[in-house]
Amino acid sequence: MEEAGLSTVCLTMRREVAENVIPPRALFVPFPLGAPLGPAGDIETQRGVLLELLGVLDQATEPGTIIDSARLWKR
Amino acid sequence: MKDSQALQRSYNTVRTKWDPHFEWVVNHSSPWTALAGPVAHSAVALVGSCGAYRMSVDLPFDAGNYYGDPSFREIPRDTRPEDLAFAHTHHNHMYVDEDPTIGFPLTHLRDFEEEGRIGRFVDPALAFSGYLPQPRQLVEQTAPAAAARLVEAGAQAALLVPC
Repeated sequence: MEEAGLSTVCLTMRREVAENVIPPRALFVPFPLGAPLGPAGDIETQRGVLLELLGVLDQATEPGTIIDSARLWKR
Repeated sequence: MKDSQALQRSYNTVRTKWDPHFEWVVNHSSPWTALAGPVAHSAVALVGSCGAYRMSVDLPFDAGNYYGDPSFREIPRDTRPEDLAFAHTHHNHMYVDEDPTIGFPLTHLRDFEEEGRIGRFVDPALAFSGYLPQPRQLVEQTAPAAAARLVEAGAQAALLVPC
């Protein structure tokens, strides 16, 4: 996608995978697999994660950037 | 490769249960296209890999295939979350079954466009099923086709949401 001219940012719940895949930009959230944006029905957390993801897209300046979200999983 | 016990467990599980030839893809560099302008002025696409598809409209992904399914689905941006199902046998479905927005956040991105947080939410969104131990067809065929589709739709950026 980057080679096609698209700027991309990837959400990840497995930081060790991102460290080996090396996406152009990534945000790590410590959430369980299957819940990338947070708990069911938690609109505030879901929106917050997406806004953080957009923030990484907006502010990252070099390839391979992985930012760690400060969020914690709360069910 | 930067190894860990978790990666080793995943590696062993995939090779034992589904694909005895599985090997991790390890990259040593990353491609880069600088964002052309602020996100608030950008056309942003959604690309999800939870296996989302529209019930009664799209053919589900071949989720039971040991080697995965490299195809993608075009999901119109105005699709209702309750019209989505998920075909992916390698993640816990309990969350997306209760709230499909977790795995394919169409409503939030529509809201962000309305709120001026992004310039435009691109139509269509694209859905993949992310279990793919043999990624060659994805890399050589379907990912370039997906990228071309998003460029055709006017996208400048893409959010990749896994499961």
